[in-house]
Amino acid sequence: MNQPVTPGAGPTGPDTHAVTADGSPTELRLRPPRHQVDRRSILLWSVHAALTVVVLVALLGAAAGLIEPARPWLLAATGAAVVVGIGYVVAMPRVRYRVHRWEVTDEAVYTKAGWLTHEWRVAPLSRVQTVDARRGPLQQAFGLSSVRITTASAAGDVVVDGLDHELAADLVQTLTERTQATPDDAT
Amino acid sequence: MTDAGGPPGGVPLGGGLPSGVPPPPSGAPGGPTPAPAPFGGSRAGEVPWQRLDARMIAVDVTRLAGSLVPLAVAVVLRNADAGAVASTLMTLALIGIASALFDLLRWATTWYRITDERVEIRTGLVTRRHRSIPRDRIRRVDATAKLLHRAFSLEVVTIATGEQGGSSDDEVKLDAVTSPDAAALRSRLLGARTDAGRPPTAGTTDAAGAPAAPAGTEAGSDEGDMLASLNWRWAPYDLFSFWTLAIPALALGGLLQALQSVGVSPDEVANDERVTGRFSDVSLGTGIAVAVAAIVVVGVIGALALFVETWWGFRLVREPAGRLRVRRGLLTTRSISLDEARLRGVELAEPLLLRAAGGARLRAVTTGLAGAEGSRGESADVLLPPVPMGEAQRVAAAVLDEPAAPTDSPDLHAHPRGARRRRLTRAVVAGASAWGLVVGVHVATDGVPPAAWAVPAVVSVGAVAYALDAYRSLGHALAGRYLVVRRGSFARRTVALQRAGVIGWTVRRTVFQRRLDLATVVVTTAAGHGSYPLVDVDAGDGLRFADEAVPGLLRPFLADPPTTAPPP
Repeated sequence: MNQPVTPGAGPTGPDTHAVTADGSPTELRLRPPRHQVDRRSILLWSVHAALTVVVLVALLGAAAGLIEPARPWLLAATGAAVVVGIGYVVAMPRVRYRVHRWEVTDEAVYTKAGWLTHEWRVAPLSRVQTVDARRGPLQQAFGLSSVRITTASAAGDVVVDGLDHELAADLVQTLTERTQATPDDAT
Repeated sequence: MTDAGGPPGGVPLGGGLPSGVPPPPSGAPGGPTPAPAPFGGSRAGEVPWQRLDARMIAVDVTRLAGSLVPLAVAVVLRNADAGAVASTLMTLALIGIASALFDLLRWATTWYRITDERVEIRTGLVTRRHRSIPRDRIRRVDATAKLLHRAFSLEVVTIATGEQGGSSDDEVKLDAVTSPDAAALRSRLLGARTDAGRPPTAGTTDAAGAPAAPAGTEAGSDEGDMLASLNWRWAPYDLFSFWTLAIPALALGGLLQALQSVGVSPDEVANDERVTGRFSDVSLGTGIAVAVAAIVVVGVIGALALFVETWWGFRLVREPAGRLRVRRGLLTTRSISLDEARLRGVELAEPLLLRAAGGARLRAVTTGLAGAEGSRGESADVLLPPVPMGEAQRVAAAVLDEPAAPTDSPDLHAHPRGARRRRLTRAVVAGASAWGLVVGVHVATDGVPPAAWAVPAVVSVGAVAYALDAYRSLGHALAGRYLVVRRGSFARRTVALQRAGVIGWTVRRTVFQRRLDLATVVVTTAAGHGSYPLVDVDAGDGLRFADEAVPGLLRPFLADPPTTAPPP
C-alpha cells in the first residue's frame, strides 16, 4: 500500500482542532491495519459485481423488449447500466482490494473495509462473543472465507472478507483461544 | 402497594440461600405447592417444579362469568330484533370465553422452577416447550397487574435477559404469581448477586437531600432511596406529544366504527334532513373552529387520562441490593426492576414538541432492554414521564449516582462547519427537488394551481431550518466516567454512556466526508441501541475523543504518536 486513505488525509489543516483539551496540534490518523486480504478477492468481487450487473442489464433489456411505449427510455437506461456496470466491475474490486485490510493484536481486532465509504472497526477481544468462518458457494470456488466476529453490540459484527480459507480457519482458532480467556459475558 | 407483604430487603443470594426454596407461599389459599415433575422423574435433591398460582383459576372463572353477561344480553337482544348489536356482543362474549378457557389450559400445563443457575419454564400440552434462562443473564424483572389480577393480588412476572434482538425466547413470563411471590422473585433474581461486580459508586445513597425528592424515603412503603416520585405539575408536559392529536383521531375512528356496527352510516347522518336543517346556517369558519376546539378538548382530556393511568403512583427507587425500580399505574400497575450493575448510562430524549416546551424524557441505557421498545411509556427503559428539563437532569444525576448529570453539559463540543455544510447541502437539494418537481409538473401539464407553489417554498424553508437545528444538536463531550453524545432534531437525544461500557469503535467516512475531513465515529456498546454515532465530527477530533474515552483501545491503531511533529 503506497498511499492508504486514512482519516486526516483530507485537505483541512490542523486549525480545526482548537477544542481539544491538551491543545496538541497533532492531527490523529488511523493507520491501516497490517494485513491485506487475499489477492483472489479481486476476482471474487469482480465475479460478484459482474453477476449483479448482468442480471440488472438483462432485466432492463427484457423490459425494453417487452414494454413498447417506454422502449427508447429503457434502451437508454440499459446502455447507461452497461457503461456504469463495466466501470463498476473494473474499478470496485481494485479499489476495494486497496482498502480492505485487517489485523489482530493480543487485545483487539482491527479491520478496514469499503470502497466509496471507508469503515474502520475496532473491537477488543475481551468483548468478543462468537467467532465463525463462513464460505459462500463462490467463495468456496476461490478457496476464500469470511471471518465474522460478533460482539454484544447490536451495531453489527466485525467481518474480515476474503481470507484464504486455511488462514481463516487459523484465525478463528486463534481468536477463539484468545477470547476464551475472558470469563465474563462481554457486555 | 401490592407487595407490602414481601420480605424486607433483598434476600441474600449467591449460594447463601438454599436455592430449592420456593418463594414463600404467603399463606394464601392455593399458594405454590411443590408439584411432582410432570416430565420424567426428578432426582433427589432437585428443585421441584411448581405451578403458577392457583388463584389464576379464579381469575379465569371470573373472566368466563364476565363474558357470559354480554352473551346473555346478546341472546335477549337477538329476540328483540337488534341483530347487529347482538352479533357484536356475541362475538365479544365468545372471544372472552375462549380466551378464558385457553388461559385455564395454560395454567394447567405450565410448570416452572428456579434453581441455583437457571430459571426454567415448561409450557404447552400438545407442543411442549421448555425454556431455560441462566440466572446470571437476567437483567430485568418486571411485574404487571391488570385490574382483575389485582383483585386477586396476583402479578404477572416477566424475567428478561440481556440477549439482543428481543425475541420472546429471551424472557420468561409467569402469569401469574402472588404479589409477595413476585417481590421475592425480584429480590432473588436481581441485584444481590452482583454485589462484588458492581461499579464502585453504585449503591451508595444519594438524592435524599436533592431538592425535589419529597420526604426522602417514605416509611413503610418504599425501601431504598426515592429518586423521583410523581409530581402532578408534570402532567402538562405530557400533552406535548403527537398522542395528544392521535387520541382524538383514534376516538373518532372508534366512534364511527361503533356507529357502523350498529347500522348507522355517517353519510346518512350528515345528509339527514334534521341535521342539515339545523346546521345549514353555520359558517365554514365556525365549523372549523368548533372542530378544532373539539379535537383539542378531546386530545387534552384523553392525554391527561392516559397520563393518570400510566403514571399514577409513580416512584423511581434505588433499592439497597443494587436495583432500580420503577413503579406506576392506576388500573394496570407495573413495576420494573433493573439490575443496576447493567446500567450503562442514561438517554435524555427531547422530541421537538416537548423540547419547545422545555421538557425531556429520561431513559435508562442498560443491557437487556434492547427490543423492549414500546410506545408511550410502555418500554421498560423509561425512567420518567415527560418532565421539565431541570428535573430530568436531576434524576439523571441521581440514577447514575453522580453529583451532576453528565447529560447536562452546556459545553458539548460543537461539530465543525463542514457538518453544517453537509446538512445545508442536503436541505438545498431537498428544496431544489421540490421546486423542480412542481416546475416540471407545471410545464408538462396546463399549469399547477397557484397554491401548489407554496409547497416547495415551505419545503425549502423547512429543510433549511431543520438543517440548522440538526447541526446545532450535534455535540459530544467527555464528562467524568461518561461520554456524552447528542444529535437529532425531530427527536433530539443526548446519551451519556459509561466509558467502561464501550465495546468497540467504528469510524466511517464517505467520499463527501473525506473531502471535508469529517468522519462519523460510532461508539458501540452492549447497552441501549447498541451504537451511538458522533455524526460528522472532525476526523482528528473524533479519533482523539475515542482515544481519550477508552484509553488504550484505539491507541495501537493510530498513525501519529503525539510526540511526532505534525505533517507540514
